[in-house]
Amino acid sequence: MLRISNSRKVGVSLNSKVGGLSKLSQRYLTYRLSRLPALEAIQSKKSDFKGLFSNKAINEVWFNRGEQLVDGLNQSIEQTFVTDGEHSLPNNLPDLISSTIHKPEFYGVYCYSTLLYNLQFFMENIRPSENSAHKITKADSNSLLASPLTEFNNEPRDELKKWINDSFGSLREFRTLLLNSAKGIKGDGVTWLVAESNISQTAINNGGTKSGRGPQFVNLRVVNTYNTGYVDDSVRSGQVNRLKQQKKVREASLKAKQLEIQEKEQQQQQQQQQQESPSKSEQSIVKQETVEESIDELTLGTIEEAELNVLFNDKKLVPLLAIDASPRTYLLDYGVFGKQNYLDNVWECIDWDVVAQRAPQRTQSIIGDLYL
Amino acid sequence: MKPQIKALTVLERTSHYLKAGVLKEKPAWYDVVGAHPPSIDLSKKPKKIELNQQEIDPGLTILGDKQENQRLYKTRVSDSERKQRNNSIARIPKLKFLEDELRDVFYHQHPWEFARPKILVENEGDDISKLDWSHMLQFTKPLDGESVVQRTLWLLNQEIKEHEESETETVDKKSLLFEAYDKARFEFYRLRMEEEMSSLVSREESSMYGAVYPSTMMDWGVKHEQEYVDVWAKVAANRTQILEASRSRNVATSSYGTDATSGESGESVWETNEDSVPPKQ
Repeated sequence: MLRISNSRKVGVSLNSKVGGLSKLSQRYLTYRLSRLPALEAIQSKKSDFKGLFSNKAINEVWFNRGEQLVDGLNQSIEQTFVTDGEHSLPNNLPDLISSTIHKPEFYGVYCYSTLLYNLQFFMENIRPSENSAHKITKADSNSLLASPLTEFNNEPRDELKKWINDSFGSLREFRTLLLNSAKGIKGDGVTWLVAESNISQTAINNGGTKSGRGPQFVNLRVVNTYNTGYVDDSVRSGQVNRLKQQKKVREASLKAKQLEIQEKEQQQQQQQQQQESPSKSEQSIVKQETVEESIDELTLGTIEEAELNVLFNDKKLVPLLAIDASPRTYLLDYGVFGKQNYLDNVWECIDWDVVAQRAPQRTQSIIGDLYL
Repeated sequence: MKPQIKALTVLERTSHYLKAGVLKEKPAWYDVVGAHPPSIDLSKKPKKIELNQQEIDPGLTILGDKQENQRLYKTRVSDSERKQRNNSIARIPKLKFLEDELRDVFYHQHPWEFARPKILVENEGDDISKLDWSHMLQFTKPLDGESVVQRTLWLLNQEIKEHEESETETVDKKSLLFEAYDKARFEFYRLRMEEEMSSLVSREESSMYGAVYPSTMMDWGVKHEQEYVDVWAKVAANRTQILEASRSRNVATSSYGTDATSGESGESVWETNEDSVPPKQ
C-alpha cells in the first residue's frame, strides 16, 4: 500500500500538535484535496473532460464532492481524535483507513477517508480522450434495450496487456467482465482491477513468508466494493473468521447441553431399571433428538460458505484500476438510462500508463508459463 | 321406335325454318346455341350386330389383356386398384418454417436453455408479433433462445434488403443465414453475461447491505411444495385403501360366479371424491 500512497500525494498541511497550548487549540493533521494536473487545467479553462464529463459534471464529481469529503474528514478527525491526543495520525489515506477500519469509534473518519480514497483513485486513472467517436449525450429509454458495444480502441500495452490476457483470457473478456461488474452495481460502488497476492495480509503483517521474499502477485482479479467499501480482503476475511469462531462457540455450548442431557438420561435409565417405567425413557430420547437436529452435521454447507472459503481467502489485494459506477457520476451527463454509455466512455478514458505504474512486480506461475 | 336425335338438330331445323319463312322471328336462344352448340351426342345408337362390325370393347384395351384369345372380362376392381393413388392431396401437408430449423439448431447447441422456466400463457397468442427485433432485449419477454431465432430472422431480412438495394453479385442466402445466426448468438451471449453478472452483483451488494439468504430458491420451493404433498399423501393413502378394498370385494364376488367387470368398477378411480368415497352397492 505504501507504494500507492507515495504516488497519491495526499497533502499534509499542518503537522503535529503545538507544544504548551491547551487541548482545545491543539491541531492535528489536516488533509486537503490533492491537485491533479489534468483536472486543474480543466477547471482553469472551464473546458470539458473530453470524452467523459462535461465541465459542470467534473466540477460536481471531483471538485465540489472532493472538498465536501475533505471537510467532512477533517471535521470527524477533530471530533474523534480530540479526546485521544496521544494518537499519532498517519499522513496518508491508506494507512488512515487501515488504522480506523476495525474501530467503530472512528466510523466517520473511516467513511470519509475511504470515499475520498476511492474517488481520488478513480480520478487518477482516467484522462481526457482524444477520440471524438464517444460523445457525452443523454440517453433515452431505448438505450436500456441496446446490446453492449463490441468495439473499443483504448488498450493497455506490453506487460500489463500480457498479464491481463493471462489472467482473464483476452482483453475483450476482461473488458466485458469489468464493465458488466460496474453496470451491475445498483447503488453506490466502485469496480476495481486488483493484483492478488499468494499470501495473506496477516502473514505479511506477521513478518513475511518463510522464504523471506515479499508477496508474489500471480493473478489479476475484478472486485466490487459498495458504499464506503475498501479493497482489503483481510478485513472481510477477518469478519468471516470471527463469525466462524462464534459458530464454534455456539456448537460447543450445544454439545455441552447434549452431554448434560445424556447424563440425565443415564441417571433416569438407572432409575428406570429400578422402577421399570417405560414412559420416561421415551421423553429423554425425544429431547436428545432435538439437540442433535440443531447441530446437524450431515447437511452440506451453503454456497455462501464455500464462496467465503474460496474467494475471500485473506489475500493481499493491490488495486490497479478503479471505476466509479455510482449514479452521481453519470446522472448529470448521461441521464438515468446512460450507465452503459458512461461505462463505455470510461473505458476509452482509462489511463493505462497510470495503471501499469501501480501494478506490482508480476510473478509468473510455472504452470501458467507451461500453458502459454 | 326410331332413335330420337331431333333434340340435337334443333338449331339446324330452326335455321331451315327461318330461311323458309316458317318462323318469322329468331327465337331468343338461337344465337346462344349457335355460339355454343351442344358438344356431346346424347343420343343412344343401336348396336351393330353384324360379325366383326362391332367396336372393340374399351375394357379390353384399357386393362391390356395380353391373351386376346382368352377373352376374359374383368368385372370387378381389386382393393389396390380402388385405392386413391393421388393420396398426397388428402394428406395434411407438413409445415416447414425456417424458425423451427433455427430453434432446433440453437437448442441442440445449448441444451441447458431448456432448463430455464418459461411462461407459456398468453392472452391473445400473438405476443411475439408485437415485438420489435431491431434490438434483442425486449421489455415484455425474457432473453432466451426464441430471442436468438427472431433476431436472426430480422438480421437476415436486413441483409437481404441491403444486398437487393446495392444490386451487387448474387447473394448466397445460406451464408447470410449463418452470418446472421452467429451475430445474433454472440449478441445473446453478451446479454446473458451481463444479466448473470447483474444478478450476482445484486446479490453481493444486498448481502453487503445486510441481506441474509437463509435458504436457496430450491429449498424454499421444496418446502412449500411439501405442505401440499403432505396433505395429498393422507388423501392418497385413504384412496388406495378404498381401492384395494373394492378390488378384494370384486375378487370375492367373482368367485361366486358373477361377472367381475360389471358392478361398481364402472365408476372411475379418478373421479371419486372424498365425499363419494363409499362405493355404491
